[in-house]
Amino acid sequence: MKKAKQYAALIVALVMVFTLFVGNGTAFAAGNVLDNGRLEKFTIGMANDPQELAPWNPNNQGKNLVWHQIYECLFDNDGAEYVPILAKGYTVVDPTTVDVEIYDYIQDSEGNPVTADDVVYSYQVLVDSGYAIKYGIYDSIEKTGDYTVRFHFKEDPFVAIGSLEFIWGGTAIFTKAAYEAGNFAIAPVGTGPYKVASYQSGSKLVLEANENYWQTDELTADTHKRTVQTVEYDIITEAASQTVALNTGSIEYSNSFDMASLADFEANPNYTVKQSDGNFVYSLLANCYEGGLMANEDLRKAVYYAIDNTMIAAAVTGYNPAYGAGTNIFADYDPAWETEENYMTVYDVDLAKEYAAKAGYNGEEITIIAMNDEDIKNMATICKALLDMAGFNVTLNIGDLNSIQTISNQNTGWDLYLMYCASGGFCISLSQAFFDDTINGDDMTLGNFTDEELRAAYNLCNTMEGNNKENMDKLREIWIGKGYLDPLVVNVNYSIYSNALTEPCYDNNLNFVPGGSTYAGQ
Amino acid sequence: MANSGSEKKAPKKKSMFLETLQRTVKSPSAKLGAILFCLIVLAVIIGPYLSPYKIDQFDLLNTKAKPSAAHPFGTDALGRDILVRILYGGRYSLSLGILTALLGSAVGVVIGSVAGYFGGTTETIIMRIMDIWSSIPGMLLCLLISASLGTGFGNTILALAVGGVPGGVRLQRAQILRERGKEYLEAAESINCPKTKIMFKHLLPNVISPTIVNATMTIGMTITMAATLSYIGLGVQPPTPEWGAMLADGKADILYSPHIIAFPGLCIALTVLAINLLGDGLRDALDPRLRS
Amino acid sequence: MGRYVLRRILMVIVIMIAAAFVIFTILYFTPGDPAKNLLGASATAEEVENMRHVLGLDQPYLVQLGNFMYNTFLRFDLGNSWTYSVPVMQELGNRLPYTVTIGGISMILNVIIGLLLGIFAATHEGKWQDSVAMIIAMVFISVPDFWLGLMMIVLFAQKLKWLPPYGVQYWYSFIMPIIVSSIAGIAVNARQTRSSMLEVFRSDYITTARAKGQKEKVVVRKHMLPNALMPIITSLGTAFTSIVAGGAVVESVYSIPGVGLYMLTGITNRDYPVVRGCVIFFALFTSIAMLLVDLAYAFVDPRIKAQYSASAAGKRKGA
Repeated sequence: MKKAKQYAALIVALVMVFTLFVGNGTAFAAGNVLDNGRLEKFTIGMANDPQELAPWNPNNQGKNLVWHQIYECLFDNDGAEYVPILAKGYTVVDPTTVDVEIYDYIQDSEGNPVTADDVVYSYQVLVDSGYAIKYGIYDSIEKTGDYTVRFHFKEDPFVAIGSLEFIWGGTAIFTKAAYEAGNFAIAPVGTGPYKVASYQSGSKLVLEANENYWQTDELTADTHKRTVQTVEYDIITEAASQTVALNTGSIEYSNSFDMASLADFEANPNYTVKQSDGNFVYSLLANCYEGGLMANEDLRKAVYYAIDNTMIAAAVTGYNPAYGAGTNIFADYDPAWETEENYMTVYDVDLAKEYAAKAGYNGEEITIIAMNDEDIKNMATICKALLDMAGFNVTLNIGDLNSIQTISNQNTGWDLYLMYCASGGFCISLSQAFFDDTINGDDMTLGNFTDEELRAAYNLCNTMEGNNKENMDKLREIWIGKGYLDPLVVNVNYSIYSNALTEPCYDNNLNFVPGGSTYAGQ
Repeated sequence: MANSGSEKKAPKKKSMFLETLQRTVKSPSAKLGAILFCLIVLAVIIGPYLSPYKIDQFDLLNTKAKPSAAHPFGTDALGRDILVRILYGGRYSLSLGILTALLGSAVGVVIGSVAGYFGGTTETIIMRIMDIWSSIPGMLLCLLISASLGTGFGNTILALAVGGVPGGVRLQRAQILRERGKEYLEAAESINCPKTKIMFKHLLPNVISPTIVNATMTIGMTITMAATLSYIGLGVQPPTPEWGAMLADGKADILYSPHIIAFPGLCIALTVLAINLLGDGLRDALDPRLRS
Repeated sequence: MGRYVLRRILMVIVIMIAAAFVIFTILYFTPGDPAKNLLGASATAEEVENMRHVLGLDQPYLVQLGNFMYNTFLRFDLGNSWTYSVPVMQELGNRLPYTVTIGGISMILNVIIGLLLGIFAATHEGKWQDSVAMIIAMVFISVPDFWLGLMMIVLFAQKLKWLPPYGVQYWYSFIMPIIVSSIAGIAVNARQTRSSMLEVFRSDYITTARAKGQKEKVVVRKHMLPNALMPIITSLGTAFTSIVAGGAVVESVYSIPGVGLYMLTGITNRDYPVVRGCVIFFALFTSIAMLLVDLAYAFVDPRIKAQYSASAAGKRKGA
């Protein structure tokens, strides 16, 4: 009996010590600014595991966050502009040949100098890797001097919008010496303002300011600055855990948290909540394949009129209603669209029923496919409920992204696809997913139709010269008139950060750039 | 002595069933399980009709409402009544569990019986296949099959049932082996009774009890496994209000509206508890060594 | 005995090859295009096709299968992950310590607490202590683990602020994952122990020991426990593999970079080398664990040993 009491006392004591020990981590440490003017450390919550850090960057949201801090390209994208980074600028030799000169003092984070040979090598590695996407107009690259290269293109790269977005703005330049010496997937060596100090996939990524950064302070663009010494990315997939981590101070910046906590953080003087319009559009795309249910234009419109964008935006936190295939941060977005009367702005069940009757709809099953993302699931559920109310017979098919993509690439098996797409700066770039019939290789758009008139209008809008209000309205008239798709909502970006951060900096893709931001005490 | 019970079994199935039932509910915990289980089944069958809410009736002015008189379990992220969804969802969850257990056991019984009764090369081949089958962990196999078949109710049943087959086969085979040398089988064989008839008509009723117990336990395990599948993003998908899918839906709200995930979770725990208590009682009742 | 061991090892090899074949075939028929997944929706059909070529996915089934089998079993190379760009073996090696730490400690807890609870229940059979212990065990089994994990985050991380909600940074980061992954095992072990204790309870030699007038404590410790342990040992092998393979959920709840999560992302990303590698690894792990358990069992129990050699001889004759 005595022994039992002793054990009990020991356990209680252990628990108390333990609580003290663990409990002390909760207070916020004020940002500590070093002698060189940099903040000592800043910790960021990351919802997606970057998985690997190789010098290509097509399709991983986690990797997107850090990629441009580790690697640099010849140019940065800024809308339709190409901002020289490693390049000093470019000279157009003839419509399909462009010369690019790079700075002669570039070096990577290990101190290897970057020359024209390395530039050519970097392009070669990317092309060989199979990761060269949106490289359609690229033909070849050659060295013309120690610090000059010449690009050969298949067509004039300055006609269509964003032709060089990936070729110039998404192709990392690194040195042959570093690439052959190590594995860039886990220990990349780039020319960027930060280098990887340690990386454990699925857990933590630590970036350290690159002391060998090549560019002079005066010439360094904001997004390439180094205002923090150490940047830690904690990979936390659960939004709830990220909220708790933010609360307890183990991370200082998060843009993937429990939306219900917004009010708490807004009321807390230790945090700032920032809200900005996003660049994602969530839409219902109809499968117009011949012989399919949705090949009927009236039925498409019937469905669209039965869905209320405002209601979806109200039900799923963090979204605004969409008024077109784009968001208001894009250069070619027209606020006048918001007051137009069409199926995006009008919710009219009677009209929907009228259209359905006209289409001869008789209770056929309409299949909506969607990926199993939290928000998308809720949007799909509301769409189904609204369509059920309007007398449609709707089935949801929700699955992982891969299965859904497989289904959507088929001509049959789906009627409506609740999908999202994003773009850096133009509605027309975002519309590519819907209206470009050259992607799928079957001369049809993702919605399985070919429309000459639409194609012509799309191609016109997708050029620097043709991208004006008049042409955009024309394009819009065509797809709304035919009812090819129904944009539902656009996202709103929320981020919460501790007051250690005073002025956050974002890049062209709206990714947070810790090194370009300003912190308390700086 | 160990097998005296099975030989004493009454020839008519109904009386055996009644006998077992009587013996099962003798234990207080099994009685509790049985009552609980019956209540749950009754609730999910009748409950939805008594509720003023419809399953997909959403109310955007009243989302994530805490439990109240109007909504005893509160409402979810789209303002749907959680109670009525749980009641409806119970139909899916329970039938998912039961169908999976039935499917898994049926396959296990057939293959296991064939292996145990015919023996020889047939047995060797079957058992080696089972070795391979079970070398891939059940959860992993379930994930893979779920990913390759796609989501949905039927596919989820299939995915969940697959992992349980080798266990079922081994169990059944072991039972048959224990029974194979019995006189009544020799007698049946001596009058030239067809082998399949012997197997299913004479042998099976005498060796089925462990499988029944196993199947009962499987129901509970399946319901939790299904929940896990939904959490991962495979398994049953919305708007089907399967309990696991409800849990997966509510996980985003655990901090500020924990009731959305708490109630379906408690329902799973309660149901599984009831089934396991019942299964335990059933095992004791069917165990010949405990009968005297 | 030596012959038996050899046979078993040979069997393990056959199982591995068959498991590799099965997993390859399942993945081959799983919908989803790994190339498209890597490149994103904006890649053109041509670019995707090019990527499929780089990954070797454009080759016929048999060629792919042959390459895979050759690399796996003759070169012992599980290949490079497509999404992690790191050899699968290397990544498994990086991640295994986390999974094994959680799995191993859970295992130890399972055995100790499970045994104690089971013995406690068995020695109080029919009394209220028995019912309480068994109902606790039942409740433990009945709770879905990710639900428990999330609920514990709410309590210990959000409300009490005692423990971090994620990660592997501190030793106490592991407390919640270990509790969550051990709880079901504790219950299973407790029930297993109880029922095998009870079985032994009713056996003749215990009656004899009691009849000899030995003290109840001695009977439990010297006669009952060793015999009751046998079936428990057998179940441990499988239990450990299931903890290692079934860690996916706990790891994803607590963002732990373990093997389970690796496999899970492999499945969702259609990263075939990762999935195949994990399956082969788990299959090997399971087979070896089962082999060791069987050998230990055969070694400990002379009856089984005799039976094994007899059955091996019988099978030889049969074949």
